[in-house]
Amino acid sequence: MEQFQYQIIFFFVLLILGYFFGRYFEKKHYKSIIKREAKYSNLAVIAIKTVPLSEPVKPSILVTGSVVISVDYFKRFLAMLRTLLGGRVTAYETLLDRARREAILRMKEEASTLNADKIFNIKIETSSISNNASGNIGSVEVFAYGTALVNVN
Amino acid sequence: MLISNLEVIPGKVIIEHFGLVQGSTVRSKHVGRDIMAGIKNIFGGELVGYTELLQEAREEAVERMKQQAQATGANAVVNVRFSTSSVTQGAAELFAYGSAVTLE
Amino acid sequence: MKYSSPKIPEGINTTDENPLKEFAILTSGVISVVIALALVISYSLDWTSQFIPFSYEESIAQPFVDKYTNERGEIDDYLQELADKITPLMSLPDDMSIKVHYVDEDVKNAMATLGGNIFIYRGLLEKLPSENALVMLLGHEITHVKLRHPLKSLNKGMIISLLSAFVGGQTSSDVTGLLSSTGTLTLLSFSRDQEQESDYQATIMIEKYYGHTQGSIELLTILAQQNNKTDIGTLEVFNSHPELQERIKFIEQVSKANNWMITGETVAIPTKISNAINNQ
Repeated sequence: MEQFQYQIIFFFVLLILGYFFGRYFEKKHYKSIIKREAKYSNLAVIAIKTVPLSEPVKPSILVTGSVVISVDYFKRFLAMLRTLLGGRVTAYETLLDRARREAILRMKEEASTLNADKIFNIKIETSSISNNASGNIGSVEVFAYGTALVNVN
Repeated sequence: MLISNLEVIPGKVIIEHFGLVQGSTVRSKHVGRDIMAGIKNIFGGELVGYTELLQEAREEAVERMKQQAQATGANAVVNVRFSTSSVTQGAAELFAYGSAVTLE
Repeated sequence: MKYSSPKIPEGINTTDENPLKEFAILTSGVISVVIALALVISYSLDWTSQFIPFSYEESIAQPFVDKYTNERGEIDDYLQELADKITPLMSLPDDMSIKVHYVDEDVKNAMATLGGNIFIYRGLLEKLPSENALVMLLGHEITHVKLRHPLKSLNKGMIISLLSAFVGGQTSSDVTGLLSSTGTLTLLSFSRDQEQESDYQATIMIEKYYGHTQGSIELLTILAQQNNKTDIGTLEVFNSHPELQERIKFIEQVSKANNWMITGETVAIPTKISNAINNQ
């Protein structure tokens, strides 16, 4: 029964590592996201397909942004417990929020390097990445794409 | 607040755009529903428990999207799209997004 | 077209709850449910075991015993004779019969299993200093049989692992580990109670047989010496037997409470038998 004790200790070490590093990375990421969102706030992202007729005619190009983010051990364990009892999985809400905003920001960055200031018909795809056979999913890929209207000078 | 998946609402004109607004929620089932679903797997038919669960989650996602739109000062969200994805075994993410606009 | 993008406030799509608090609530919730379930199942299974006839146990056990044991020798006969002398003092139910088997292996243990079959291994037998300790050992194992402990442990083990596979089958291995470990730890506490009860009834019997309880202390001291090498500071909770010091203290308390003599003359194991054990 001694190995049992060591298993439990190992498990707690992983949990603690996951908790502290996870929180640190998440805070850092959110700071970066908020800063960049402020920088690109003038770049219009519109979820409508038809460009208004009032817009001058400009060349259009598809722009995309994607990111894969993984969740730490602590959050994964919390989510597993939650699937036993049901309800909102708060641990994963921040994961998806971060991933989506990051993907949209990367799309905006690409549009901005192409000297565009409007992106139309933005669509977002989310898929989960499985990391072992039992379907224990810990990471999420978010892919954002739209058509940018490029300013020709 | 008007929520629609049309782009051009009949009889209304868009006077201002506010960009993308999104609402999402991650919900999971519990063991009880899981066991019922397992039994239903033998007999077939609608999994009422899961249907209700996902409906509630979708409503919450739309509610959050509306909250974001209200924060921007818009009065409608157009071209609304939904997406469901599984993020972990037994939990699904419900995601709704659209364009916040002021209609007149 | 007119476009403006006011800053959308944080916290609409995320919830601000402290994850540590959620962790504490969820974990304690899950653990208490598992413990409650394990306790309910254990008590009800223990209660139902009285309805399973002893003859069922015997018929299940018989094929395995036949395969596992060799031809009976003089040691088997000696052990069986000794057991037959003790059994009348232990108020066994009429339909139970004890069959003792000697196993020539270096295992420092003895065990009782289904159908009244008791296995004594050479590794422990050769270390016993007197017949008194042997009588205590036999009494302990016979009490396990009398109280249907092998059957009860088997039932509980099966049901709990079935349940944890059923519930945990859909979730990740970590949570399944948590569920089954909580269940196992609850079972271990039942096991400790069973061991203590066996110690108790064996002590009562040995006092009747010899007039004092010396053999019981001797046996536990031998077991304590054997286990000193393997127990590297495991917590009490993880042990299937109570700590040996605790067991010795318990026997001493029982003896004092009944005014029994703790020490007395010991009878040695017949030389013929001890030679046979050491020669093999």
